[in-house]
Amino acid sequence: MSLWLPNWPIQRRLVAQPELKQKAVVLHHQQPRSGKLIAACSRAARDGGLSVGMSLAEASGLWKKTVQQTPLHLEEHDPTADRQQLTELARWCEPFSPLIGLETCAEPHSLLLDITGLDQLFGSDEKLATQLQAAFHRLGYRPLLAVAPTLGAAWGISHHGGVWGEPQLVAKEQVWDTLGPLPPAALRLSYENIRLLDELGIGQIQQLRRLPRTALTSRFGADPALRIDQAAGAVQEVVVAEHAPPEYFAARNLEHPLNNRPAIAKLLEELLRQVARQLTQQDRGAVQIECCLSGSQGQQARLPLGLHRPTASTGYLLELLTAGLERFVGPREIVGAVVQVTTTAPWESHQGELFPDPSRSGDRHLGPLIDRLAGRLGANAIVGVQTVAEAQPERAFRDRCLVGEKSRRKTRARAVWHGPLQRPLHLIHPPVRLEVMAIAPDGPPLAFVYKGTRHHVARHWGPERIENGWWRQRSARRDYYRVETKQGYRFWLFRELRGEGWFLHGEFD
Amino acid sequence: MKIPCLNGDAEAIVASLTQEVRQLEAARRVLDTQPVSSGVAALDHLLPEKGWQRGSLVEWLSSGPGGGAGTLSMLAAREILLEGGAMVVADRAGRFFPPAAAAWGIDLAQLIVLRAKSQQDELWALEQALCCEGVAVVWAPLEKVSALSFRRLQLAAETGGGIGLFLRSSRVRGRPTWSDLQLAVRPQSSQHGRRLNVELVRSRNSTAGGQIDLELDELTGVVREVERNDESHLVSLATQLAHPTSPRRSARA
Repeated sequence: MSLWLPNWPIQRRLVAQPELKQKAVVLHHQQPRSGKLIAACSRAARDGGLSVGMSLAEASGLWKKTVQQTPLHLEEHDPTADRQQLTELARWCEPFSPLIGLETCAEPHSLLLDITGLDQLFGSDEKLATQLQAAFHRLGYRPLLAVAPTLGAAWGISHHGGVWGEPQLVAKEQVWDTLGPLPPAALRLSYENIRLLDELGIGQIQQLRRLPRTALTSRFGADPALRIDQAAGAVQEVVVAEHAPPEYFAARNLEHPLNNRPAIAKLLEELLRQVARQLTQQDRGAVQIECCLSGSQGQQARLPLGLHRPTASTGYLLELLTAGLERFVGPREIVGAVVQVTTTAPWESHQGELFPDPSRSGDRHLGPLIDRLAGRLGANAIVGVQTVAEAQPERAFRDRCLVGEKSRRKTRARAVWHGPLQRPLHLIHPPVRLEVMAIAPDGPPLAFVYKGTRHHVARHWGPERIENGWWRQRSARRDYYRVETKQGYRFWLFRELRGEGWFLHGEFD
Repeated sequence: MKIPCLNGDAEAIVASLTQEVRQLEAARRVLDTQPVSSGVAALDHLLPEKGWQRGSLVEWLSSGPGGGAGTLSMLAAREILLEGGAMVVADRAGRFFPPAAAAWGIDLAQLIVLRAKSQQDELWALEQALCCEGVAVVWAPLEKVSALSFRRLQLAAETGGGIGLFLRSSRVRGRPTWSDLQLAVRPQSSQHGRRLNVELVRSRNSTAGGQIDLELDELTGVVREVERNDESHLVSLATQLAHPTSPRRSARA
């Protein structure tokens, strides 16, 4: 069975944020040479004349020119999140089939299900397909389903012969009758081959099948012949199943409530030991743990814990959990506790070194420090930072999470395009409005009052015009000046070109 | 304690005794580590250890916002980080601007930003960071801090071997402190680059005093020492010539 979710990146967002249904949604991605292009767009955007592959600047201009009533919502295309959500859906579908996978391509939009022999369980293949479709409708998705003897045929029919609300069921003897009139793209051919076939005037699969096999292979490569064989069942195709990861958790209900910290810590230690054993058996380490304590009045309190590096050490986890519990406001009396590992990663083990490198030993100490700080102060209180290619200072950097991630992505250092004395070490956010004296309306500042002190400008550098992207909801157009007062103090001022006056944005401390 | 030979050179005796006193005062600190050069010969010369000593605390006293103490302390951090380790930046006020640090040559991959909600949490976290051998520098604006907390920070730095660089207001000048060095930074008016006056206010292990003027190149940020007040006369004269009215006339008006 093939279950296709048309325009999946848009569908995913519309289900996650139903308020976007009132807007024209456009997803864009950055192309090295062409700049920002549209990667996907909703029906409302398409009706307004936008299409995939159009440049974002052109799309915005077109949208403004046609004075569309529907607001345009722009968002960055995120194929990783799309795949992740589709994988989640595959795991969610496990009650319908033991073998569910994603179609094998860079950006999958379909689920492939092996439903061999399940008709007896559900009554028939049709009933199974109808139930699955209804389940997706309840989640808010609009899929197109097709059931066929082979995965290739099911994929082609769902994508090019599907009917909304009606799962298509094709028997073995009807495969080529159904596939024949469909375009060659229904065979999952490469883009180049589809274009070539179109140029040659081959618009249907039945035309393609009439071509001699040897000529087909020599002209188009092995791809069309293989796809035809897969659709016919001559070549086996397997579903790479997306099984839900094993759950690591331990729970304990108590007959008598506990109300003292050492006893609760002992209980958690026992549960952590069980979880650590489960993790060790799978050679995994915990990256995120959640501890849930149930009170005698039915109340529940959760304590999440993120880790910098995966670990399966009971003592280490207990130390972090105990530190977190010190500031944790939970039920006074505990009648039950659950420790669950929500994210795992392969456990890292290091061989001891006879002559350890002192420069690398620091890294080993840093992990426990980050875990300790995050455990007590929260994951948001301890972050890494990376610069972003944005001109607007407030957006020129972003935080990088240090705990609770499966793998540490190496961040690429972006080139800094300004000199060391051109940006202040302290940025004032939001900028502080200033009373500034300037001779010319567009001229540099001569004096300003800050914190009750009047500063006279001795030297200035600028203006440096900084504007943010037009796609930002609130655009900024500013002329920045670095100024040095007569006493030598340096500040970063800007004039808002929309006539909102002068602001202080930074101090060169 | 070994008593040096009395008939030896007087300077050698003084040097030996000074070393003994230092060892007593900084008993727990690893004295065999070489100090880290500040990257500026004049500043190295001003510092008693001829550089930044590992496991120590340095207070940078700023005379006001935009005064340049943060910039010089960031330059110190950059030099310390060249030998590896991480840098922990305390940013409770949410005002630290990482692109500026990157422009000064700090590798942001080595940076950990700490955003605690209270000063108590921040002090605890700073102590933890200073205790950690993987942390080379802790950089933090520090407000009022009790002697007990400061002492804990100092002991933590001695344990971990990192260097604490604390930005403080010049109002704390003269007050008791557990830091090893106290440097006051005052901006100066200049015709060329950014000029900053650095004064060694306090040193735990040697005599304080001494000041230098540094100038940061506008384009490259390269720091060099300049003669003190070599432009003050010219600046003053130019200002007087440019003034449109005399003080008496403006007072009458």
